[in-house]
Amino acid sequence: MNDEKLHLVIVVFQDLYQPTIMQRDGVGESYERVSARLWMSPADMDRLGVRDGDCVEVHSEIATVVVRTKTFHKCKNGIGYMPPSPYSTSLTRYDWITVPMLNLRRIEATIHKTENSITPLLALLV
Amino acid sequence: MVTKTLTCPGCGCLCDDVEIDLDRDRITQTRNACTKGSTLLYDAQNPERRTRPLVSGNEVSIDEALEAAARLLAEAKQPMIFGLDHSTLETQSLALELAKKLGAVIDDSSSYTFGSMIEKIITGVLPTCSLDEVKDNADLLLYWGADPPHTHPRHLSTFTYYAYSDYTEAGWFPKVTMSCISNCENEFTGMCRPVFIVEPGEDKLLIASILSHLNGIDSTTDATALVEMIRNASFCTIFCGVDLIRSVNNDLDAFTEMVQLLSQSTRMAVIPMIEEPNLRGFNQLLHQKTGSINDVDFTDGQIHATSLPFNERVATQPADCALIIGADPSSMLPRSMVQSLQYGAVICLDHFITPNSQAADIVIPTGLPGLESAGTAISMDGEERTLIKARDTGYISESEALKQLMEKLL
Repeated sequence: MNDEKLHLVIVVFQDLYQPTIMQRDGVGESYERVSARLWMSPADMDRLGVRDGDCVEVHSEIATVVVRTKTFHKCKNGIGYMPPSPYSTSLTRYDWITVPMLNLRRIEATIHKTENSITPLLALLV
Repeated sequence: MVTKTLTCPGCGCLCDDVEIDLDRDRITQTRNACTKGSTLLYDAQNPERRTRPLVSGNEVSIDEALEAAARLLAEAKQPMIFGLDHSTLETQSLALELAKKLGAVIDDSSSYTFGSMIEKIITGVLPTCSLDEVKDNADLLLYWGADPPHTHPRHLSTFTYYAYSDYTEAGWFPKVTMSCISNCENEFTGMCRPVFIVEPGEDKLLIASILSHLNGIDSTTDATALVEMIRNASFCTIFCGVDLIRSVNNDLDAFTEMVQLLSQSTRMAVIPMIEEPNLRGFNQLLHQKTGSINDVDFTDGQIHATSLPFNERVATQPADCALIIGADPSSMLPRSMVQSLQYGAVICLDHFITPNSQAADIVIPTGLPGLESAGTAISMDGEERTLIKARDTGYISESEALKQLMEKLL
């Protein structure tokens, strides 16, 4: 097991297919599959010792989720992309005094490879 | 078989050329609709995705659900009405009436997306224009923090770049420059030239650098190139995505100053890339009726424009009863905020099953505006569009549900 930990800035981005899948199938397995996903650069994937579909733990200051990795060839090193879903929004803390908007553009997180399965979506829903 | 032309309720573009073939009220074919629109239209006829009237998880009649909802709202001391971005203007007006009657707070998702920008646009602080004016007239299309192929799949082909009728001599490219400011290279940046890449969350630094350049101070190469590109154009439209709003942390003062300074040499227009079909309608209606764009408190039946932003209100003064209409905050808001929003009783009016409808105490199923109920909506560029009722499915409209709720409150 690679013990490498990686610091990433996570950006929540819009993806056409993820909301379409939620629209079509609801909040089920398909939605979980496309939402529990972290897009990273090939170099960052190599550093962590992961390949497409491997699980990683994503730790932010307030939460930890396990998601699958996906290569994004044009991604810059040090940046990760997640679609909007309870997986990404649970990582961000809302502080109305310092940040009037929800922080979905720069979520600081630490990533490492894990053998655990992805976090069940139901565990993240209120 | 009947063919009907409708305005698609899939996003803020409100494309009005979508055709559907109906065989006994069942859609058999769609034409001109994008992936997003056609999925929405077809999904409306999937019974497994539709809500049923529920009270505490038990299926009841629609009338019983409305009765229970009216009881909860009547008992509430600090009610809130939230959502309405997928609703017609008629439903939004009724929701405002209901808010006055209940002494409730009313707001929509633009509080944490485009609210401030729309306020600047409708009050004339930021220049704007219609999408019809853009096509064939604007010679520079600048997408900032937006990714239309993913958020508005027909935007480029119906309203902007690929809709232009004049092409270069070789016939390959429309006679317009399409540029973008993005934080990564993607499919869309591949269509744009030039592309300006900024680090996530650092758009405000680029704006500051542009302002420096405009004020005669040395600035970055990107800022200089951007200003020169805009100055060389005669009509530049900036399509702002929600990423820009989030990146500048909703502080649009510097952006506004930048647009105003650039307007001295080039005709400038700003159009927000709104994803919800009638978010702009809600803001315009609320502004027209109350003078505020977001978060109006009708305590004692009087209008109180609150000084608290929605996010802060939800976190610090959670409602004891939230009526959520056609919105799913569970998918977009941080967990702590969803918990605050669902702190009291939750009444959900929705067409589809969502995490919000699954967590609600009372669910009232309604028809999908634009397909199963009629009305009007305002597109991203401020144009009013008519939504038709194309199929008769027996679902009551949101407007009818609100009318019945108000009658039961008497």
